[in-house]
Parts: sequence; C-alpha cells; structure tokens
Amino acid sequence: MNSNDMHTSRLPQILMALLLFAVSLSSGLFIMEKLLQPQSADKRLLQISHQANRLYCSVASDSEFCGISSQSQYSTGAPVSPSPATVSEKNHPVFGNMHWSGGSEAEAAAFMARAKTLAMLHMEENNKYLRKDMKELLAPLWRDYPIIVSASACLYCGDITDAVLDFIQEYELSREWVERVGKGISRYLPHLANSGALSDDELYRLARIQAQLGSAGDSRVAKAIAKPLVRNNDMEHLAMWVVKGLNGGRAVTDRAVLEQLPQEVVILAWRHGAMMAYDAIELTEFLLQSGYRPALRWIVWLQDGSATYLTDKYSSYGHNEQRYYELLKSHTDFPVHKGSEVGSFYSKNWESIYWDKQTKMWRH
Amino acid sequence: MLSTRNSLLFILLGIIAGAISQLVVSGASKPVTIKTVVVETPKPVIIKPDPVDSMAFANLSPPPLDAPEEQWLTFAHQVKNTKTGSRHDNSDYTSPLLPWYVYIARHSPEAIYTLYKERAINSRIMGHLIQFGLLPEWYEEMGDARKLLLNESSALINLAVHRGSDFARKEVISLLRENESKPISVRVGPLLFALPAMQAQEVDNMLAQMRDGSMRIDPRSLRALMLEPRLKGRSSEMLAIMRTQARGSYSSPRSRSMSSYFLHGAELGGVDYVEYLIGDAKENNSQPTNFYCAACALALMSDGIAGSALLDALAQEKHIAVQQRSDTGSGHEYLLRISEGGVR
Repeated sequence: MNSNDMHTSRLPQILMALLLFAVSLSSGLFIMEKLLQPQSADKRLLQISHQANRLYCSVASDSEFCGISSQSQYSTGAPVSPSPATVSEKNHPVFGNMHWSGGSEAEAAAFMARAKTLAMLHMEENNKYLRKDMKELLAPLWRDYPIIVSASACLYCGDITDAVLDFIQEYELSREWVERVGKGISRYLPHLANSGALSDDELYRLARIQAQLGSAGDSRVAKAIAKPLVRNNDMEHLAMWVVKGLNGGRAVTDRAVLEQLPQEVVILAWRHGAMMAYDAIELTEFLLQSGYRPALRWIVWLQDGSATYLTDKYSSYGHNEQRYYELLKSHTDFPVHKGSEVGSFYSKNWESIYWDKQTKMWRH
Repeated sequence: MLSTRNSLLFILLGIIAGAISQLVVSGASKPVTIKTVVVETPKPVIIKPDPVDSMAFANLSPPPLDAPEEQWLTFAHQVKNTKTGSRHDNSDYTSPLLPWYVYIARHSPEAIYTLYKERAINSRIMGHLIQFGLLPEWYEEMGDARKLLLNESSALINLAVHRGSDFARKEVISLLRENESKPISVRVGPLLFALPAMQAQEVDNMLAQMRDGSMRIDPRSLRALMLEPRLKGRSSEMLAIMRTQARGSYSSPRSRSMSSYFLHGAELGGVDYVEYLIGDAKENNSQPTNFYCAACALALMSDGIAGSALLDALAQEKHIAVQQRSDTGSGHEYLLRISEGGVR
C-alpha cells in the first residue's frame, strides 16, 4: 500500500477525529466560559427576585399584576404568559414585569408587599435604592390607593417614601389624604406647604406641634418647620425645634434671619450640631464673628486635625474643609491656620487670646 | 475507523484545547476574571438565603371585608407569623409585610389592637399606623394600652394634630397621674410637651420619680429637659437624675455607643464626665457615629490646652488637671491644664 493509498484509506478516520476534536473544542470553550463567568450580584439578585416572583405568582396566579415573563435568561420554564405593560418596556431587573392596572384594595396591599420585598432584596444585594423605578412602579397605585402607598413605607427607609414625596408634589391630593395622613407627618410638611394644601395658620399650628414632639430628620424638614415659627416670631418653639434630631441645628442658616434671632437661640442650634461634629458652618461663622469663644475653640480643634474622627467624611468639616480654613485665617491674627501647630499655638496662648470688637478679629 | 482509545484521546485533547483557547481569549478581554479563577484561590460564591418565606408570603389571603372579627384576627396572626428574614422584624414597621398591617388596620382595627395587646407587634408599628391616620379611634379603643402615648411621640403627634394640643397635654398628665405609684418607662418628648400645663407639685413629683428610678427615661434624652425653661437652675438635680438613669447598657465600660449623655453630664457640671471625655479624646473610644463625640464636647466646654497639645500630653501620660471655671448659662465650662509633675 503506497502512502497515497494509506492516506486515502485513513481519510474518514482523520475526518472523524477532526469532527470529534471540533465538537470537543466547542464543549471546552462552553465549559470554561461558564466556569469563568462570575455570577454578578445583579444576576444573583435577578435570580432571587424572579424566584420570589414565580413563587408568589404560582399561588396568586389570578392576580392581574402577576405576569412574570419566561423570556428572562434565568427562567426555569415557567409557563409563558403574555407580557402586559411593564415598568419599562422590557423586563425590569428587580420588579420583573409587575405593573398595576387596577384592582381591589387587598390586591393593592399584596402589590405593595411584593414591591417592598423585592426592593429590600435589591437593597441588601446592591446597597442601592430604586427611587426612579419605584416611582414609576407605584404611580398608578398611588392614583388608586394613596393611603396604602404612603402608609406602607417607614418614613426614613428610602425609596418608597422618596416616591411618595414626589407624588405629593405632582398629583392633586385628596382632602382625606391631607387630613388623615399628611398633616401628622413632619416629612411631608415641606411638600404640603409648597402645594398650597394648608393655610398659613394651619401650617403654624402643625409646626408648633412638630417643634415640641417631632424630629428634624433632614434639613429640608428642619427649615420648613422653622419657617412659620420665625414668621410668627415664636422663639419659644423655635428654641425647642433647633435641638431636635440630626438636623435641628440646620433649621435656620440664612444670615439675614440669624441676625434677627436672639443669640441664645443661635447658640442652642449651633451647639446641638457641633456636639455631634455636625455643625452648620453658617452658624459657626456667625458666632465666630460675634465673639463667641466656643466657636473659635471649635475651629481650632477642627483645623488642628489630631482628632481625626472630627474631620472625617461624615462630619461638617468633611464637606467644608476650605471654608473652615478661611474662617480661621480671616478672623484671627494667628500665625498658623492648619495642622497640629494650631492646637499647640492656641494651647500656649489661650490666656492672651481675646475678641477685638473694633476690628472684629480674634487677637493674641 | 478510530479506536475507542483514540476517540477518547481526541475528545480530551479537544476539551483541553478549547479550555486553553478560552482562557487566552478571556485573558485578553477579561483580565480580572482570569485573575480570579486562575491566579487567586476563588472565593466561594455565597448565595444569600432567601430572606422571605416566599410561599407563606404568597399564600397570604385576607378575609372578605364583611368577615367576622375572628377571621381578621386569624389573618393578622398569619401575617405576623410569616417569616420575613432575620434582618426585617415582622413585628416592626420595617417589615416588608407592613402593607398588610396597613390593610388590616383599615378594615379591622380590633385585630391590630389585639396583636398589640398580645405583644405580637411592637409599639413602633402601632405608632406608625396611628401616625398615618389608620386608627382614628385608637385612643378610645385601646383601654389601658393607650399608655402608648407616653412612649410613642408619633401617637401623641396624632392626638395633638387631630384633637388639639390642649387635649393631648391633659391626657399625658392624666396618664402620668394614673401611673404615679407604679414603675413606668417614658420618653422625654411627652413629658416636655405636658410640662407647660403641669402644676409645680406635679413637676416635683415627676423629677422625684426619675431620681428614685421608678420613672425610667433614656439618660441620653435628658438634655431636652435640661433646656426646658421651667427646669433651668436645677442642674444638680438633673445630674443626680442622670446618674440614677444611666445604668445597665448605658454605663457599659466597653463601649460608648450609648454614652452620649456623658457630654450632657459635663454640661450639667459633672467633672467625672469631663475626665471620661479627656480619656476618649484621641480615638473617641472607636465610636464614629451614634452622637458620642468626646473632642466636640471638650472644644465647646473647655478652655486651656486643646487639640494636639492635649492629645500629646495624654500620649505622654501627663496628668491633666480639670478645673471647673464657670457656668456660662448654656452649660458649665472647664479649664484644662497640664499638671506639672503628675502622671495619669
């Protein structure tokens, strides 16, 4: 048998070997791709949320808002249902294709519970809120059941309340909702004030109640409650309010208003914030320029920087580093303005440092 | 034809070649991925357990609106008993099942009151439901449990908004009177709210109860009382109350997480609290948040050595002398000096 014959007779074997090699090659490629592909948090979340959707909808299958699509890459072959209008046109990575197209109040509660659960799973996995998506999901439900939507969120827990705050501004509010819900919730009051749903007198009455019993969880609320109190020159209630919550000390920061307030109210507000390393810099500046010595000492500690927890990103200093530096530089005749030398200088000279009323400077 | 052995050999070669080429291709476009798999020991992928008992969650089905109370209570228990995972307490308003509690409150308030009286749900969720106007008759319907008013400002706000501040104040005072001889735990908000309408004797009784410990109050909230005009000038009494109230977890030597009242203790004239603050000044006892800030209080309340000079002296174990200087009207002020010759 010559070599050509030999090659000819082996041709089917070679072809078969190549075929096997090609099939195996693609298998190898496929296996390694699967091994190498990391299961990202998003995809795991997608799995979990779709699993939750499927489980929910396998029981509550008659519910109109159950229409999880099998088009998802993680579908395990659940029956295909026609995809209704969705949060967005395509399948939402967290909410699937949940949507609200009307139903009973019980269905509204079930819808909210499901949306909350999925949003919580998303938050746990990604540490991200879904404000925009949640708003889009809940807007039709808000039109039907605003009390269910608003009461289903804890006030300082993120995305649902954020959506509700938008709805308050964007939709006409029912009298029932304003009376039963809106009036009692400090977080809603800034938005209600803007919407014109409350008279000035009623706003002032509610502000007094909040000043005594509420808490300034965010600076917007802090300012909104302070406004009617200042307008009515109610310093007693303002003094109560500026020491409430994390942001009470930021209730009044406008210089023109600060100049009208009794200094003890400004000091109360400033001390409340500074005691938590969360002073309003406008108040620090105002008091520094008024000859209030604790404000000077506060800036000395900040600029000294040895106690690093005073100057981290959570503190006021973290947001206003340059402004604090300039305050010390422009309102003192100190030879140093930053670093441990500031603390050393102050410690050596504190007895001779005084407020010069004429020049409005701290001198030594 | 190919022998079985040769066939297997080709298959094996194919898989290896495929794998190698995939690695090469991936290596070009996804270096991080290769590094994770090939170079480093791969970390196990931790799939979090589903935090929600999805089947029980999906099975929740409320009774018809006209169902008898027992059916609503059964449903309320079913909601309460649904597992929502360890991170979301189903008896609290952070529960993902809060919408179902809202629904029950709207249609069967009695079921909610019963859950609360059974302690199946906590006062925070009750306060939440009241605050959102879902239980308009709560004050009349809850009987003794209306004592909630003394612990949940949200409930008191609701009462003040809808029935007027005068009515709400009278009710707080009345509840305090009813509980005068019993151990009771209260929040400072309702006390402050009621204070303008309290008689002098009632204020004295209240302070006496706090001082002997029969009225429990969070020592961290005492500052609000300190600032109340009717209680100004009673610093030593407030300091004594603080010392009584600051027990248990508030006085743990290991952590300052509950100790922000140290700052207020110093404001009230407690030199021992200033000494704690000095000791914590460098590291804040590793408490970055929770409103305990040793250096903040020192900056506001003390003059003399400050900043790095103070921290350096502490590092060198020099003794810091604390001298009470004056009561500035907004709290006591202290003078800090390095004491010559002394060692801490």
